[in-house]
Amino acid sequence: MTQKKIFLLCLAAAMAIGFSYDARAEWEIGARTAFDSNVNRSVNNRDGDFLVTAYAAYSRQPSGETRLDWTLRAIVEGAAYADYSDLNYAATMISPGISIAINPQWNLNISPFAQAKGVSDSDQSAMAYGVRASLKQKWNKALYTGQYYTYTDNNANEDVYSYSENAVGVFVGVKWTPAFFTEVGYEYSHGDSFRTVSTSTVLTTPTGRRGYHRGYSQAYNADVYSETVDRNAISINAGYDFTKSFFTLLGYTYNREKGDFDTLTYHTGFLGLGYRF
Amino acid sequence: MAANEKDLVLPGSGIYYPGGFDMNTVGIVQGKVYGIHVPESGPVQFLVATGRETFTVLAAPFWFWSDLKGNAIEGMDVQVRGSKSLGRDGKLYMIAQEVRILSSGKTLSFRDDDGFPSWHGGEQPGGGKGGFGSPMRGDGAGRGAGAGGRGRR
Repeated sequence: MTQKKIFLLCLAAAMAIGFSYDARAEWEIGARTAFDSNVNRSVNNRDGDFLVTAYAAYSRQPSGETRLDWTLRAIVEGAAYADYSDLNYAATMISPGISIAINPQWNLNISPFAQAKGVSDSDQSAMAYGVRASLKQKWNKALYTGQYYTYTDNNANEDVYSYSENAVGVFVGVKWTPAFFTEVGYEYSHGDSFRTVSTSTVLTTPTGRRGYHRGYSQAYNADVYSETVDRNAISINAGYDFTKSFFTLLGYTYNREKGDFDTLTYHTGFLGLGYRF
Repeated sequence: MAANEKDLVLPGSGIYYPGGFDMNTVGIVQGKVYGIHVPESGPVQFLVATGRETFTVLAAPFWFWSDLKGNAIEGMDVQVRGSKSLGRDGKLYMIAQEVRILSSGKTLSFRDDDGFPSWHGGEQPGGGKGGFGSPMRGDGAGRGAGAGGRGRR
């Protein structure tokens, strides 16, 4: 990936934002602190780490005045890890889309997206493209559900970090009060994934039985390989609006990745504060 | 829901749409429906004669109104809950939250409890910030949990 590509994507995002200021445009800034119990995606030597992320996002939501409308989302974010500083990154994403109100309760959104990500460990810097289709239902004033499909093609500087992925998910949410909601979600995905294995293990385990093998990574202080995996994830999220603009979000996800050679499990969680205007 | 500078100002009444809904002026009127009017843009409007007064009720965009089969209430006795307002033209208006048909008990709902329009799409079907699709969840595609996932950090 070249610096020029990242610059062009940022420019496209900025131009899209500039040209789309209208009735349902919203800005959001926020920060979250997160924990990943297996940040090195290790088979045999998992290591947890904390990270802090700050982001600015722009979204053009459908006004609802017509059945068919267009949407736009652009995000710029940066993250810093407490220990694994080689994983610090900056990323920008742009996603135009169309929104169709099938009826007053059902809404369909289809959005292609492009993302550029620069990582301190430049092997992991990547350009990603994909599309997301989501279907949402409001059953009454409190209960809502949704289903989605996402295809992602992530092209990293090093092939071992590249992946293509098909993911499907469902979620159920309850808006307990106008200010407080909870959501439970499940996601299944199939695609490539990298793993790390400590060098001492490699000495005793024939690497030939593993998938694509890249070799030693300084970022993880371990050998890296990739294989095709099935991932199952269960998430719980809760959000509270302090005011019309100021809100908080708390989330937890349990992940299980099963490949031909290894199975990984890890937990992630975050607490964030955001401001919309 | 607060009006903002990007709302449409309805001609005649000067009412902000859709953000002119004010929880402080919410009330209920009861009467017979007549004069349903579908404008080129903006909310479907109809009149409710209560006996002493006549309110112009502002409902929802036509596609939403049509899906709810709103035209069927012409001539019916209804109870309308909504935000009352005196228009610039001196007429009484009501931004409808819901319309209950007295003969059948059926309710046409246009807005949430806090006055947020039900026809608005968007990423937060529950109306809350940070719902599915929120950028705070840390994935460009709008899912994930903030720190995990294949190849995502």
